[in-house]
Amino acid sequence: MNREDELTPMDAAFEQRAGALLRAGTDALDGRVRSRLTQARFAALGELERRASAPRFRIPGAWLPAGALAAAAVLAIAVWVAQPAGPPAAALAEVSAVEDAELLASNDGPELYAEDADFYEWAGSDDPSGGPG
Amino acid sequence: MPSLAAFRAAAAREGSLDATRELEQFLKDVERRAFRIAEIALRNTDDALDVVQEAMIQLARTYADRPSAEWKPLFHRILQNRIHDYQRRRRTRSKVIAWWTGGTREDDEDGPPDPIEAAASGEPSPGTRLENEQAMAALEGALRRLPDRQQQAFLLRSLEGLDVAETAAAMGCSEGSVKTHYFRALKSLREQLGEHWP
Repeated sequence: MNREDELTPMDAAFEQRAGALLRAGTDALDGRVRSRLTQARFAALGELERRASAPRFRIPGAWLPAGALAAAAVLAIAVWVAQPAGPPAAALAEVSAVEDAELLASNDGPELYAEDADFYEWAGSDDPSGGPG
Repeated sequence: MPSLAAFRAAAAREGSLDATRELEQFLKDVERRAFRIAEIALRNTDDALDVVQEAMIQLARTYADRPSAEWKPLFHRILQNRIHDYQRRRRTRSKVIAWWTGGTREDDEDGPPDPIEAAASGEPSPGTRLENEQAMAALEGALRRLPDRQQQAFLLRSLEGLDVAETAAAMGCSEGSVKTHYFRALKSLREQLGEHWP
C-alpha cells in the first residue's frame, strides 16, 4: 500500500492537527510529572556512569564453571607433586627387607640359629618372664 | 609534560562526559512525548512514568554505546515492549480478579478519560484553551479505543515524528505493516471524531 496515494487532503489535514495537538499536550504536563521525568533521566544517567566506572575486564558467566574446573585440576596436580615419596609403613617394610638380605648375606650360617633355637624362641615369645629352656 | 597514559585517561573521561551529555540531551528531548505515548496506552500516570523510567535505564544500560542516531527507534522499541508487558500483566490481573469475584469487574482504568483530569494546564487563553482541551480529550478517547498496534503506529508517527522505517524498527514489524496500521488508525480516528472534532 502506498500511503501517500491513499491519504486524502482531509486525512492530511486531520493528521497535522492531531499531531500538533498531541505535541502541544507535552508542553502542558504538570509539575509532578515533569519532576518524575527528571528523576527518571537522572536514574538512567546514573546507570550509565556506574557502567562506565565498572572494571573493564569481567569474566563472562559462562566461563566460571570451566575456570573452577581448571583451578581444581591445578590444585590436585600440586597436591600430588608435593606428596611425600611413600608412607612410613612402606618405608619400614623396605628397611626390614634390607635387614633380611643382610642377615642372609652374613657369614653366620643357618646352623648357628639351629644351635640356639631355644634362645631365639624365647626372644620371640610374648612372655619375657620365663627364661629360655 | 603529562604522560601518554594520563592523556589517554583524560581523553576517556572526556569521552565519557560527552557520551553522558549526549544521552542526557536525547532523554530530555524524548521524555515528555514518551510519557504521553505511555500514558495514552496505559491510561495511568504512575504506570506511564514507571515504564518511561525503565525504558530510559534499559537504553543507558544496554545501548548507550550504539550510535546516537539509533537511540530513538531503540528507545521506542524498549518503551513499547514495556507498555506491552504492563498491559499483559494488567489483563491477567483483571481476569484473576474477575474469576475470584465471580463476575465481570468494572475496570475504572478502561473508562472514558476524565475531561477535567485530561485537560491540559497550559497558558490561560480561555476560548482557544477550552477548544483545545475538548479536542485533546476527544482525541485521547478515540486513540484509547484503537487497537494497540494502530495506536502505536499513530503515536510514533504523529507525536514522536518517526518515519516509516524507524516506526517499523520500534514496533518490530515490517514497513508495510506500519503503513497499514497507520492508515487504519487515521481512518478510524476520523470516523470517531469527524462530527465532534472542534
